[in-house]
Amino acid sequence: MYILGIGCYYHDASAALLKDGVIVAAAEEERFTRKKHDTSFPHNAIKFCLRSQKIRIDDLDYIGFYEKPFLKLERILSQHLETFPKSYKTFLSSIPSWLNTKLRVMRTVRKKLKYKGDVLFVPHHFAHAGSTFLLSPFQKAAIVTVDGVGEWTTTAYSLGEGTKIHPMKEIQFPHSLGLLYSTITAYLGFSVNNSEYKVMGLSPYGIMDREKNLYYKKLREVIDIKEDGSFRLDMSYFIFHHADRMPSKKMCRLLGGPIRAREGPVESRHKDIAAALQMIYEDAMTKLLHHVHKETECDNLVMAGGCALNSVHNGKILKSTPFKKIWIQPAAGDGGTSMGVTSYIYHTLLGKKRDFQLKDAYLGPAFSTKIIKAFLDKHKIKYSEFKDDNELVKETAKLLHEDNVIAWFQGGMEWGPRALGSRSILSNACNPEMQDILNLKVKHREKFRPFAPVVCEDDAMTYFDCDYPVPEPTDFMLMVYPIRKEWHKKIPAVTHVDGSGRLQTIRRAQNHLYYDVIKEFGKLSGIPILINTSFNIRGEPICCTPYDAYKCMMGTGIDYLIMDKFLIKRGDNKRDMWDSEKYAKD
Amino acid sequence: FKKGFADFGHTISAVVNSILLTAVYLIGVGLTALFAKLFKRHFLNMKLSEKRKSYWVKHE
Repeated sequence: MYILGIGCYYHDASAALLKDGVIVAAAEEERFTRKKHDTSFPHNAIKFCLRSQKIRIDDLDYIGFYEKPFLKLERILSQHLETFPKSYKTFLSSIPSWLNTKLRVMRTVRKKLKYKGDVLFVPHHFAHAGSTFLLSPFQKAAIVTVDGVGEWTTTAYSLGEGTKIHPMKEIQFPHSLGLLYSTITAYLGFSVNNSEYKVMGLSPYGIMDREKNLYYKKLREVIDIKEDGSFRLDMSYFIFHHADRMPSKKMCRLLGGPIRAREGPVESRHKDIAAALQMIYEDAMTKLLHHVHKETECDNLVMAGGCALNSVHNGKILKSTPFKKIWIQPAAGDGGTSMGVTSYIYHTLLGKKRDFQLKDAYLGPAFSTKIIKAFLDKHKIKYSEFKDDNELVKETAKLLHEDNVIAWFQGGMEWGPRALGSRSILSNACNPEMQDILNLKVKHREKFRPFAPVVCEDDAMTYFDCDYPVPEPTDFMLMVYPIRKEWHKKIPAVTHVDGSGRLQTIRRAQNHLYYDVIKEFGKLSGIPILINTSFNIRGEPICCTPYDAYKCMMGTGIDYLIMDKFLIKRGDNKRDMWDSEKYAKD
Repeated sequence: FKKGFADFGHTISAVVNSILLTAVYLIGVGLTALFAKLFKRHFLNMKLSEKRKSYWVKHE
């Protein structure tokens, strides 16, 4: 039985394919169209999913969509009604797209995909819940989904048992932790639905003390958090319910100044606001999770929704709440809902037994040695070839130890927002200058942003103060942990200002070449930790094809590209060089 | 000439659409909002309450 899940029209369009309970392919549309957070109908992602299994659209048993459009329109019309006449502008800009495309999903599926079977519409937070619980290792778990907004729901908790998801309680629009986070992201001059993680990365530069941070007390005025973690926003500080912008003038007055200009200087005030926001988010989530544990009486926790990408908080959950185990969907944001839809239909609606767990995220397009060689030859690219995996591993580790920046292109592309060793840029974490080198030569991004370390799972406890055993979401780079003090000065390139690291752990069964390179690098340097950052230029999606990879390398200061078993040196292909810096924008 | 005519057509169609949507907004949304105000009916639940112990609502 084949089930195709589709998510689109809001942000991060994607498609996922399930075959007899197993997720066999999944990808975000942005990787194909090269438009970051592409919202359009995911034609390319669907085409990839079908081709990966050599099937046609008629072979599908069901197609599922990640929300109920009419229910969502009801909420949007309610916003317009509640805020009349302030909502005039957004009514004019949003209603045509609803009438032309967003309400016509069924028609689009019938007409553009020429599909005649059943199309099922799954409520948004059920799609999130399905994406995490039904693919987790747990047969019973508390499910917490927190995002900006679905149809009406912004925060919900449920109990997952076997194939069933029992919804318990929820909080509805306009009260939303995701929208609060996005509002302050906008206030700090970063892009909404894109740069919330930058605010999270900025927060440790501010005063992380509830007593001393002035903005913490101020921001507590905008949200009323009850003891059970439920909350409501004081809507006089927001205008997202009737305008395209997010903070109101009252919010600007509260925070003592106008919205920061994009690319403007980041002042200490901005850092303190980011810190205050992160602390308030953690306050609400910690209370909420205590309440959910009490209500569900379950020690296993699974999470999804955009807020589940807040890895700083994720790393504190097992220490600050009674939960003992945790699992998070690697594409916790809306991109992951297409996968949730397929699992929800197969297990919860059709009642089919669960025996699949999502253990790695390499579900995207992969390219064979033959295809890559043909690409290199066709474009007359100079390269050399490793004779076997052993030579590849040793040579890569040697190049990394010599402080080269290596682009690493192997196997299936990652599912979700993080590069996890399939489309990664790797470099030496022990070099104190590496952060500046990567920022200047490759990523062209804000200086305050930290780089992530990757470490083999069996070495993680030596260098990081992780929960034990190391939780599986760490494999998806979803947990931030303190780096043990004795290593701060030895791995400066991945040690954030507060001594933490958003580490990725890797197990050999997931990606043996990647694992072996890290181990080999450890033999040379004494520390088996590398920098792992996503293989893309700032503002672009992660690379998908050999062409994307080669183009990205030639436009940046990456020294070598290792693609399958081929080694391509940038310096040997000078005719293809270009400068990506002027295109590096969010 | 054809291109100019097509552009002109698009402009006219955008203007007509805006006028229609404005009419829908003023009459449909406006009147409904007015009646809602008269009968003190709210479409979004925005009130904060110190008395309430919880804001959770049961999933229907």
